[in-house]
Amino acid sequence: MEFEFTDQDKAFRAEVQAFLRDAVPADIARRTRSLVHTPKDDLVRWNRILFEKGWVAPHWPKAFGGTGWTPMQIYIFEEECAAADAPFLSYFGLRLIGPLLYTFGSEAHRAQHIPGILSGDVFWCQGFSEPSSGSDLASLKTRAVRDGDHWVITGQKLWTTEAHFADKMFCLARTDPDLRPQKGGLSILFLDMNQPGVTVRPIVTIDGGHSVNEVFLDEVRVPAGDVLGRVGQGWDQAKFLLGHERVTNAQVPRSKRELALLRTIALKETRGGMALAEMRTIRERIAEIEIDLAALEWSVLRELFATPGGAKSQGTASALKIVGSEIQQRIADLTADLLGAKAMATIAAASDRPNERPGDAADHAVGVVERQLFFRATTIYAGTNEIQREIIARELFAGH
Amino acid sequence: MNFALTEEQALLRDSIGRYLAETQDFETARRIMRMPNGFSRSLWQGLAELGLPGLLVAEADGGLGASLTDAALAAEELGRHLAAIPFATSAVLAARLLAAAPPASAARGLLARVAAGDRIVAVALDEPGGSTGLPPVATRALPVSGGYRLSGRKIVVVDGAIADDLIVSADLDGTTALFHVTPDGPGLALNRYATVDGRSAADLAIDGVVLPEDALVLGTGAAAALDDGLDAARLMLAAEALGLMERALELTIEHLKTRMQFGRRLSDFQVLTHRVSEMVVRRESARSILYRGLALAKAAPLDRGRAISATMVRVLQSAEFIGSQAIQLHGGMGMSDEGMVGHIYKRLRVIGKTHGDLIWHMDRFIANTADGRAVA
Ligand SMILES: Cc1cc2nc3c(=O)[nH]c(=O)nc-3n(C[C@H](O)[C@H](O)[C@H](O)COP(=O)(O)OP(=O)(O)OC[C@H]3O[C@@H](n4cnc5c(N)ncnc54)[C@H](O)[C@@H]3O)c2cc1C
Repeated sequence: MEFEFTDQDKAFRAEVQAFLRDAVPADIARRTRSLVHTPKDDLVRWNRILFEKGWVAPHWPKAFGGTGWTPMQIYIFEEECAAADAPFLSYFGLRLIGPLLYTFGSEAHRAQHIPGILSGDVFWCQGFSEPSSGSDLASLKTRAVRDGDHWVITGQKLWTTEAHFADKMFCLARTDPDLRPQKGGLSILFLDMNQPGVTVRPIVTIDGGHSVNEVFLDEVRVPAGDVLGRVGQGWDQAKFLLGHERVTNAQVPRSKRELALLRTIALKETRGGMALAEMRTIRERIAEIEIDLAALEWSVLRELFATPGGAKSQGTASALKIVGSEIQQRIADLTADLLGAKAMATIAAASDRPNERPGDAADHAVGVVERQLFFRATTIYAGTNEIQREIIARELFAGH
Repeated sequence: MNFALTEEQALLRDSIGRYLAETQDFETARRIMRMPNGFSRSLWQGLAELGLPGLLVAEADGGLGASLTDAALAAEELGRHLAAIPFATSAVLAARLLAAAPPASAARGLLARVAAGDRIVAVALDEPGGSTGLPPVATRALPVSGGYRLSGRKIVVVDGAIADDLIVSADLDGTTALFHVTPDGPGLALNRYATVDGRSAADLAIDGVVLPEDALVLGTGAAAALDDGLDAARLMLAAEALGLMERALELTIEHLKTRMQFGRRLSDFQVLTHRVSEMVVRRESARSILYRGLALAKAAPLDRGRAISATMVRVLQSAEFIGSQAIQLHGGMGMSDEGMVGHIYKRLRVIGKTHGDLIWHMDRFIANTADGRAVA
């Protein structure tokens, strides 16, 4: 073992920092700090900037548009992006369907869909969860029935993030009602969000924001060929996703940034003339989070250096997700708590003048309460933490 | 000691509970959240007919003369039904401050109307950079001929957006005094805004408001009256929180019994039922320490403050756990504005920031311990 950053890594970090200094538009950075749900326009602009630089999909294989960086370089890049308040690019194209396409997709599908994902011209959403199928995804009811040259899709999707501005959905559906879902009964189909039969209803979440939706699919017709890979491969493809973003769900770069903002707030927020950072109890709470985050970061680093191609434990990815999501919540909780009574209200980012904001909230308070509320979802989405613990346990007790 | 409800207490709890069960389902509560300032006069009036605003006011002042323990039973029902009314503000804190005003004063006259529910009174205390319980610094009153001139700034005045009258704390010659101010008079600007529980608060810019002499609610004794009134209000908020926790638990248990995943009811998964067990353990702890707080509500100020801060610390800790786990066990549905558990959680969060938060109560608990008498 050898724990130093290499000189190449250091030089790379400097290069990334130099690029980001000018590349992140100030208005986007401000919104990234204050909004929980990044507006589409910001996603489009930032995607375009990275695309033009050739850095939009570092985590992809070079042949498909990746950068060819080492895992460490990718991590450094993501850390620096978060530190520079660059928005996290839309997940569904670059992190989910993109990798699915280059792993399972036909040549024709890759050629058709990958360019739009990279350039940010085409946004995707993930139509997996349904009203009665969340953790138990395999039980989903949306069905696709063959009708000549088409599939006819009917069903209801729920919690579909960004469906209200996505151009396309990759939709998990039952293509064969006679086969078990896990044994060939499911497929992933592509559909256009603006085609007849697709209805999107917004769902407001407890933070007052809108990112998730209900999507009704009423006899939506897609060409027979618009299936990812082979018909019946849907379950394996869904499982592939579960293990694919092994370290992303740990959200370490983002949490490091949020922890830095928490420290700022602890220094600036006062009670009766005393900065909260001067209170021993507050310092201990921040320190505890910092130590947990440091340990998590090193778990991520260990994972990045895990034997390439070696058997990867699903449980390790689950552990990273559990700890990462809980740390996100703890940072958001403490940050909101430091605002005291001001944390009773959400603060519209629109007002630039503190004395027009609830409780005369300072700039650093904008978005804090929204984040605290929305982050209750970090332990629910991307596989609930109970399900993640189940995955670890299954591995440990397999065969018993 | 006796933990059984008296006949009158059971009657009080049942009458409020029944009224709310009949008039205030969750959809109604949500509709009220979308009304201006998240407030329904008709709900308030309905509860006023049951005597709620005057519950704690002495009979001589037009109220029912009930005890804090009685009132806690009512407050718990308010929580259970997510009833957005200014109970802790107007009927408890403001009423106690007005009751401390000299007999035959204008403030005492207002008390009868508060007790009847005709007037809603909010209390403006916190200032920018300040903290609950601190004497006012930013807001000052100057004696002028025939009265006072008031200037300053108040923030996060709970229920300030719906109040007919305000009681404002201000520095008067180096001590804390309380003034009666009407919200629509000249010199006063209110910035009204929604709080995350669907209710509202206001910030006050007070710019040379001229007040008559009888606007002074309390001069000497104001600080002690505030301490007492705030502690009473805190106990009512704790009781409301308990009702909210009870409801969150009921909803969660019901959800686990009915939601199917993997061909089974969620209640078949032990990790989930044990989580609910832990929620119950913490609710019990909260209820016990609430009763303890009520028992010590009449103790000398230092002991009272210590006991009530202990109550708040435990209640707020239980509330955070129960509220957030109720969301977690509901899965995505817990995150939706259309579900009840999210609103329960948000009301619990707001309670946790009203008249002192966890940080503040832990601090006061320790400070009142270090005073040299009680150790641990
Ligand atoms: C903000 C947000 C964004 C989302 N975005 C998307 C999206 O873009 N696309 C998409 O397809 N989905 C999306 N989801 C859905 C998400 O994947 C589901 O919410 C999640 O899988 C949980 O399913 P559920 O909500 O049906 O809860 P349920 O599965 O009903 O779970 C309820 C509770 O029971 C527990 N539980 C369930 N089964 C077990 C078990 N076997 N053992 C122990 N505990 C169990 C869960 O952990 C949870 O606490 C999103 C969800 C949220 C909240």
